[in-house]
Amino acid sequence: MKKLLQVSLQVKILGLVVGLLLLVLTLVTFMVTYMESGEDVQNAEDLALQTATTLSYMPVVQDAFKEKVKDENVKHIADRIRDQIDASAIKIIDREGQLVGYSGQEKPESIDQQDYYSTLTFGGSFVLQPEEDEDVLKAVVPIRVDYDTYMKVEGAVAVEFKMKDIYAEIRADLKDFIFASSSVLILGVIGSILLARSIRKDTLGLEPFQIAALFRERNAVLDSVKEGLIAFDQSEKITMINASARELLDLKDNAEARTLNDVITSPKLREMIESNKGVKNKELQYKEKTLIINSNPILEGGVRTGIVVSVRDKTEIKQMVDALSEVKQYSEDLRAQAHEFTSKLYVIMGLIQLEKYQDAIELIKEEADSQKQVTERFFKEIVDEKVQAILLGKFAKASEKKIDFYIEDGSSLQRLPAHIPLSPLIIILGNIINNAFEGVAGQKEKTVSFFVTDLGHDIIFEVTDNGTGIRQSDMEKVFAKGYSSKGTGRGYGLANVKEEVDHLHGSIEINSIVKEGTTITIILPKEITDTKGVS
Amino acid sequence: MRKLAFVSLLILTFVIAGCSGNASGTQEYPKKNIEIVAPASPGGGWDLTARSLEKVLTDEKLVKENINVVNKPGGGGEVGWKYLKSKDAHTLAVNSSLVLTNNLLGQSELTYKQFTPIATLATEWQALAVPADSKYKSATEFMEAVKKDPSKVKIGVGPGLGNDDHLSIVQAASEYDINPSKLNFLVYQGGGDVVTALLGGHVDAVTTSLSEVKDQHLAGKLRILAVSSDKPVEGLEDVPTWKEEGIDLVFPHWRGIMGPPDMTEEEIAYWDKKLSKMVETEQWKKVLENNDWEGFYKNSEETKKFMKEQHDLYQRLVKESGLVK
Repeated sequence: MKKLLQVSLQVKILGLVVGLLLLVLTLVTFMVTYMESGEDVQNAEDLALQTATTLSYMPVVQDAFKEKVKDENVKHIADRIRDQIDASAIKIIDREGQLVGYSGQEKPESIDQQDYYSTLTFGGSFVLQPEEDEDVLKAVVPIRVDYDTYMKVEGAVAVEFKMKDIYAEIRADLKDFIFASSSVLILGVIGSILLARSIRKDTLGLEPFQIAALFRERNAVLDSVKEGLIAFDQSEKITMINASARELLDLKDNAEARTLNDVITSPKLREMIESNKGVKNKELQYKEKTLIINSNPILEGGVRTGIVVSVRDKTEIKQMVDALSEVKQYSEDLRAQAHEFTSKLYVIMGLIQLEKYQDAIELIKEEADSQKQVTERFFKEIVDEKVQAILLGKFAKASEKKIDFYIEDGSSLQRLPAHIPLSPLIIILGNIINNAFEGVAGQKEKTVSFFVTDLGHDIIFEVTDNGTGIRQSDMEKVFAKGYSSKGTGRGYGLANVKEEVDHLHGSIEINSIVKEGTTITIILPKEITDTKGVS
Repeated sequence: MRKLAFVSLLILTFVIAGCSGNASGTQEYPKKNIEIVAPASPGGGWDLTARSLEKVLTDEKLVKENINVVNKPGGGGEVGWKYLKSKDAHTLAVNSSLVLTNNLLGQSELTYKQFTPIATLATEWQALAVPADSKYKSATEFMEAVKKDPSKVKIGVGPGLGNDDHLSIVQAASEYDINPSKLNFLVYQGGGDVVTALLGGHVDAVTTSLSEVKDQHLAGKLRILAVSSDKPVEGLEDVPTWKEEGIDLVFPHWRGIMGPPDMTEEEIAYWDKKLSKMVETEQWKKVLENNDWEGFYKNSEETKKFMKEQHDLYQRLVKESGLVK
């Protein structure tokens, strides 16, 4: 059944129109034919009876019977009247059943007395319906001749119509009617084909079920895209919004069919969307997120008929970029370490060539001690490999920059719980250690110490430097985006750290004394309890 | 749906109420003056019947309401009966066999079935009469001569073909194996003219009501060959019936009364009661005697049956007698 209905629009419209027209036209034709045939037969009956009656009273006929003379005029008048009414025959008979006057194609041999019995006996007028074997409708009326004192029925007039002729007339009428009906039907067919074509033209030649499939497909595609997409129509009503857009803009319910002003609360975003020229890759601070907005007006003949807006989350992109740059940093740090070792190896080689063996041995010993100290602490106390990797990189960097970077006694860290992945760790530790390195860059004595412990419920990282410190007045700003003592354009460091720490439900403390140094403490809980909630 | 049911129930209640209202209304029938239609001009048989009815019903105090006779002549009764058809149960009309034959002869669209039969009241008998000096001594002799050459025997009839006078002879001819269409009928204006034509020697025989020729027969001016009654007529014991002449024919020329279509049973019962009482009164018997009528009372139910019989008879005469060759 479903398959049967899945025919093209044209077939559907054509089927409906042709079906309805056929039904109506057939009904009308049938009714008209039925009424017409009844009416035509009735008319023939009336005409036959009237003509016969008139003829019976005509002076020519009356006189012919009164005088009992054979009068040619009777035949003439019968001929004339037959011509006028298109009867098939007119018969005038006398009491004996003899034909006195006749008009018709072929003169019958004898007269059927039965037809005239009632008329001759009782003077009645009748219309005789055609019987099964004959095809003639006839009206019979008496010829009443008035003799002064009495009246006598002297004969009868019969006017006959061939049913064949009557039906032929009906058929002719019917033919005209069927012709007219067929024209209407053809018009209907042409009209419905044109209608179907016009509809298909509007739908780019697609059948409705194809359109439905496309629509479903479009929605599925749009919802699977990570980028947020919103489309507005002419009156700035939302015609389409995908799941990503709802999520990025924090729209809870389905915003479709609502207007721009209802849905978008941020005036800045509204301005961007409404912009007649459209915007390209504009950044926008929306609640806690940084969004990249693209807006594209749909123009038709210079008039804006709609807008398409795409929304991307810059925070995500930024995080990816940051992580990438960290990784780059480590590879550079490692290259720096390799370079340092190479130069040390050259020094040792030089000492050996100069045969200053004792000096060479001293140098090797010193180097080995320092490595031992680092590795011992590392592998004994700090078991977590992620933190090891980060610290190893930072050691190399500190060594290159002649910074005395050491791990304080008492540091210890077991494997980090699973809810702390590598990338936030890189952002958090990388940034605060880098900040410390930069903070001590201008000092004579460059010392940065790192402490970590996971005793208790929290994991505590502490980085201390002997740099210039942070002024109390600037303390508020350090977490703001864009702030940095390192110059403009670089200031996302601590802000990103804070974001990540917040994510892990941790906290940051900064203790700074101007000209003496700064200590930054990061406290991350080992377990995220449900009461705090996971964002 | 429930609402619909309620509404139909309401309608039903009204209908029932209306019906019972009607029923109680008919118990008061008649509510107003009674009108009796004589579908002919004053002076004829129908007029006489209507006026006799009015007089007897009023004089004997059978009907308290006023009774008016109205004459609606024309079309062999059709004008009067058409008028009746449009009225309510307070109008009745006198009728006779023409109410049947008009339709059968193609002269009217009205049929007897469109009316409510009330009663058959009286009948006359038909007579075949010849001049006193006629060569036909008996009905059989007459029929024999007609059979030999129908065109030679002129039969007077009036006022029109298809009336009972005419039909009685058509039936007689049919019984005698004569094709009735061969009979040579001369049609006169009325019963009186027919007798005049016979006495004047213009026709060989006449067929007419017994009352038209009874006196002349008794006076010896003409001779009645046969009457259409089932038994010899009182005072004319010498005249044989057709049956006695060997021809199976009993032909009443009846008169009756009928009402408009769809009269209720109560209304019909009212007239059955009143008319059955009326025909027993001395005054009515006197009317019959004065007009040479014979009591022929049949109530509504019987009349209905009688009309059907008569209709079948006439239909046979009109349509089928032609088969007899």
